[in-house]
Amino acid sequence: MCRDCGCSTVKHRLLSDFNTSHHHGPSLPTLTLPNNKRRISVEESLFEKNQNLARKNRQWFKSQKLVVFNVMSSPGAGKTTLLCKLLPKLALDHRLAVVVGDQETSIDADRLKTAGVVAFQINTHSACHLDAKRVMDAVGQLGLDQLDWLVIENVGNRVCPAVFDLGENFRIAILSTTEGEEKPLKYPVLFSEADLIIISKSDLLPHLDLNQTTLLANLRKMNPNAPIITCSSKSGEGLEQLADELRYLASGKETPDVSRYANTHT
Amino acid sequence: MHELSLAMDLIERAEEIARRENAKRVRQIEVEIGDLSGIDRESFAFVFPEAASNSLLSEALLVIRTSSGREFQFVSMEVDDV
Ligand SMILES: Nc1nc2c(ncn2[C@@H]2O[C@H](COP(=O)(O)OP(=O)(O)O)[C@@H](O)[C@H]2O)c(=O)[nH]1
Ligand SMILES: [Mg+2]
Ligand SMILES: [Zn+2]
Ligand SMILES: [Zn+2]
Repeated sequence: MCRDCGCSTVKHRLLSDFNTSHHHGPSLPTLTLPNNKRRISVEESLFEKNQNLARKNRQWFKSQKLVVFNVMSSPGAGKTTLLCKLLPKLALDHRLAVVVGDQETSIDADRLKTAGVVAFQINTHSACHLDAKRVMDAVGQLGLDQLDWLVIENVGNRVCPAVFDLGENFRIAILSTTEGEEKPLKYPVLFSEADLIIISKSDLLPHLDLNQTTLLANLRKMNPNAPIITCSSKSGEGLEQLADELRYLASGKETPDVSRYANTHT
Repeated sequence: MHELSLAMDLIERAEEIARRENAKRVRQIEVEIGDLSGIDRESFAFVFPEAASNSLLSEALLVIRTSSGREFQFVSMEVDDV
């Protein structure tokens, strides 16, 4: 599927003039059926609404020279703990803020604020993921012209956050050591489209029977290129390397907002 | 889960198109939901009638086509004018 508008790539090939017609011609192909019925052929992606908003976010972030990370994992993989550890150091040389999504409570934003990080909580209530609109509404209240980095902690869920583009520049997938070797295979979208993969809670490895070789092989099967960093918020292992990797990504030596979206067209 | 809000997006879009095409009722609607779309087909079918109530689709039959990718595609709908 095309990450740009969410439509299936097949449609793109059929469209002679993508920009002017796309799927939104004034009148859709219609077939007359018996009993006064008609079949209207629609052929459009229902993710398109979110994709359009995500595209607006992306343009706006770019105009603000803002680098945006979207951090995703299962609930409890250690997103908030990691951000609390990592960001205060990075905040010394970057103006940054976190937008954190949870169904209820402002516990995570409070934890981040206590750690000294500017944080804004989004409550999604029944929804299990953030979408481009919720992010846009939240950043409207943040004063982005003051910022270099925006870190979005998505709602804990390995499935749907991965299919809702927020307009971010980089997607970070976290898998904790307690989740098992085969999760990358079971949740392919999250891991295959990550720009950076973090294996968290490495301090627990001595207590677990995790086969790290198998885990790495499974991650590589889904994602041959993204850097994989093993770290622990508890022991501090890997945090320096992680901070360097974020700095490197944000430095713009790669422009994945172009290349990544081009790749997924094939 | 998000199936209800996605079903409501579908209804909204279907009504918009139905009105534009001068249809009175939607009798059948076909969507394609891929294995990697992040949408559970069973819950989508379960919440669809709720999302469709009090709309032009309140009597519409939902047909779900499956595929292996990330598709969540509004394929087609059958409408009439009565
Ligand atoms: N041993 C260990 N526990 C951790 C680590 N990081 C987080 N945790 C614990 O895992 C639980 C969930 O962490 P949290 O940051 O709230 O996860 P989130 O839901 O992904 O934001 C908490 O009880 C943390 O104390 C770690 O590196 N090592
Ligand atoms: Mg959290
Ligand atoms: Zn497209
Ligand atoms: Zn969701």
